[in-house]
Amino acid sequence: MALEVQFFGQLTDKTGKSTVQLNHATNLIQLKEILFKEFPLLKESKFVIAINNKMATDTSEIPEHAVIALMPPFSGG
Amino acid sequence: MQLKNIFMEGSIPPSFIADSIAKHASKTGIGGHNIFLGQVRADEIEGKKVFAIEYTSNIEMALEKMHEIRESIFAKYEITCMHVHHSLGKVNAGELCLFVFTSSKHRKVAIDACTECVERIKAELPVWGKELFEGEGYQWKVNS
Repeated sequence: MALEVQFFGQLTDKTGKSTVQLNHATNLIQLKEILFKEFPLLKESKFVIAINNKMATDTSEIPEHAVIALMPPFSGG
Repeated sequence: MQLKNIFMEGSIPPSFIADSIAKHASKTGIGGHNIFLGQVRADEIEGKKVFAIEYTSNIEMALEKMHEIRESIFAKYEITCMHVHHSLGKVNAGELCLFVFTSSKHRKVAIDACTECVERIKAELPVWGKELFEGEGYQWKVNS
């Protein structure tokens, strides 16, 4: 259990939870595959991903024990 | 580095805003203030009325982003000070959820800085609003 994945906003409706612990994934492409298998509704959702509070891209590498945040479009204010 | 906390639980009391204005009386170099107040609207969607918005955030990231916005606004505009407060949790319709306050020697700078700050907050801060309907149900807020 090396990764913590956090879901925000409407994504919590798609996953039914706000965090999930996962085994390590090397990059975001791999991580998304795992998440889409577990939470198929995520596939149709729009979101950006941050690794340890920094915005990431699909090819970003994931360090050990990283905290990954999946964030839908912002709607503050 | 200690990041400034912009969040407060629940609505922003009007008295808090009045106090904040009063605190600037000693800063006599200021010639103009500009204040933006965001208020929760009781929208009606397919016969259901919004009675409150519940705000959540990725707080750490939001505070880092707000720090970045603050730095860039201070670099771009000659403002004396800028204060930002955003609600978390439930804010009822008619109550205030966002308070942005800029001050400057002259009005135009304060107005422009305030406008840019509000736009950037809405577009860039990881905050989400859940519009709660009277009775039951909700929808996720979408920023235009």
